[in-house]
Amino acid sequence: MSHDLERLFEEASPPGLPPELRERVLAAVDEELNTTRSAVRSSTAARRRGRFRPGLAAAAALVCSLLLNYGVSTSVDRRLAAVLGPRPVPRQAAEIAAEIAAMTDSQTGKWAFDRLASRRGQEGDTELYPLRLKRLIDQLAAETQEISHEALQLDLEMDRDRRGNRDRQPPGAQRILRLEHRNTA
Amino acid sequence: MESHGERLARGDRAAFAELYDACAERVHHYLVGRLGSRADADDLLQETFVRLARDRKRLANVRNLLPYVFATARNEAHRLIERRVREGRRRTELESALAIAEDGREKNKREAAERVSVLLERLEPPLREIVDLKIFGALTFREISEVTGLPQGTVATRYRSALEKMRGQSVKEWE
Repeated sequence: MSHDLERLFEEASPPGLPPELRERVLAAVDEELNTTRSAVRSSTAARRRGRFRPGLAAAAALVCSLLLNYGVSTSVDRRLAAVLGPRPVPRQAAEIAAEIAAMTDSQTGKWAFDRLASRRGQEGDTELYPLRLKRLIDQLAAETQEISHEALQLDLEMDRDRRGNRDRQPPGAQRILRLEHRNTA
Repeated sequence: MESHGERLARGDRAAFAELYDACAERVHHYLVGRLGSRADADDLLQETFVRLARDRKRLANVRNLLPYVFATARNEAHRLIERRVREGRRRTELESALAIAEDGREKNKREAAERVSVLLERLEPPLREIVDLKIFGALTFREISEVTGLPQGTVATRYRSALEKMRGQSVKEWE
């Protein structure tokens, strides 16, 4: 910058700051700091209050519905028991359970009775279920006999092997295919 | 140790007072030169500091605070100038803002203010802005480059160009 211009700008430099301006500006800054702090606090609190959590709401609704369902069922059962008295013991179930207990033991008989008694409410199944169960028990009994017979046969064969009988018959498949094993010298 | 910017970002009042003491006078000079009105410069200086306090979180990452404060003041000044244009207000005379004498040399001051005002009025706006920042704001070319976002070379070229024009004008007037 040339000396003339330099001198000119120096001469025309703006006057200093008014002394009261400092207080005014800093007071405005203070106010702004307080305003923004309180605004941040209130907006954070509002966000916390107003946030909707769909997962939590769904879980709460599910728990509420389960509790209500349980409450209604219990209350209906209680009222029916009060009006109609205790539930009758099903005769067929008691007879079948007694048979099972006679064949096995009392615990199995009780278990069978509980199972049969719990199924009595289902329509159409009431008549068929004891019959099906009886058939199943007969079948089981027959299989048990068969298994006992086979076990006896196996024991006999093992005894024969232990005796070392060389004239024993080879197994059926080997005999048919002529693959009998002969010991060499 | 906590930097000045971090203290400002935290909302420390003492840090804002320190910032004011460090740069308010230069920013005020710049605003007077830019707006041509001391009252507007006072208001805009206050507005600049309020804006800095409002957006104080950004100050934590500012390396050089002076150009940042000048950039904020510049944005505020642009807003005011645009508002003036929208409202059709007549531009305030720079001469009267600069002519306030403090040491009794009123006559010299008034003459200098008048000549400076005339010289600056004749500059194109991009050159005028660089002169305002360089002469009234007393910023370096690097700082002006940070404030305006222009390359440092462009700033220097514009400043030299503005000086040439003002020198030519003043020689013509004095002849």
